[in-house]
Amino acid sequence: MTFGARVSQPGYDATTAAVKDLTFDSDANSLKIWKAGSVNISVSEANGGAGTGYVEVSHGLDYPPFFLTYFKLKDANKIWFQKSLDDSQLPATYINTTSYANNTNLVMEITVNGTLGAFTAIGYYIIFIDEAYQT
Amino acid sequence: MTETFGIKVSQPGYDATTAAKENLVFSSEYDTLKLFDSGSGTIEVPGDNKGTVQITHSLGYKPAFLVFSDNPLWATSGKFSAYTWRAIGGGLSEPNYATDNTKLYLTFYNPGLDSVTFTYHYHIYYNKIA
Repeated sequence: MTFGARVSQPGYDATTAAVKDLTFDSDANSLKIWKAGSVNISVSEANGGAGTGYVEVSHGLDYPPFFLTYFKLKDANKIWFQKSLDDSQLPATYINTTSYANNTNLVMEITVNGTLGAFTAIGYYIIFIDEAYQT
Repeated sequence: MTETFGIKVSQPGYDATTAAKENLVFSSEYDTLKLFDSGSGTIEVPGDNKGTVQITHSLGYKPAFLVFSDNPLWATSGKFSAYTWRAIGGGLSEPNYATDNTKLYLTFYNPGLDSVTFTYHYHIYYNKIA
């Protein structure tokens, strides 16, 4: 005898639908959000070289978790997915936003090249309970 | 007396009433990504140019999203990546993705001479980022 719960997408029978056509299946893990929020990232002046800034977000999970990150210039309207920022508002010759997780922190960092003053960006994050990798 | 209600589903071999959060398949205590819309498309970008696809979501806030696209300048097309990059003025053909309160913007850069076609797949979630 097997137990479990399944919820199908509209138009599918939950008792027979393939897993890909289910919105929930207790036999398949779901990504569970542990923590979400935003942090200010102060980026140093780039005087013909590189301007950098980074922030650590403590997650308290003791393993590198799965995550999603987005970046936004503080006074801009759009948020950007991971490695980019709005170059129409940032007169840089190179923009790189990077995120990574270790056992204690999610690190969000920004590097720009060019000649531009210090600025502030906002990093948005979603950290999941689920590990970034399964050992 | 305060009572708590909810649903927990554990991984095989664990008791849902006592399992650590890492060993649960689902718990109503934790939010999940909830899909609002997904779709696919292509965009042809002329040489030394960029092209932007706008996808309306009208959520009234900036939602979480994921986008996968191929890079036709790779040796073999049909490889889809969420990777984005922006080397301004560089010779790299790369995408980047943004959203505001009403639309998702997918921008593809083509530094080459010939027109190229990018294929993309997007996923927009109800979850609010900002």
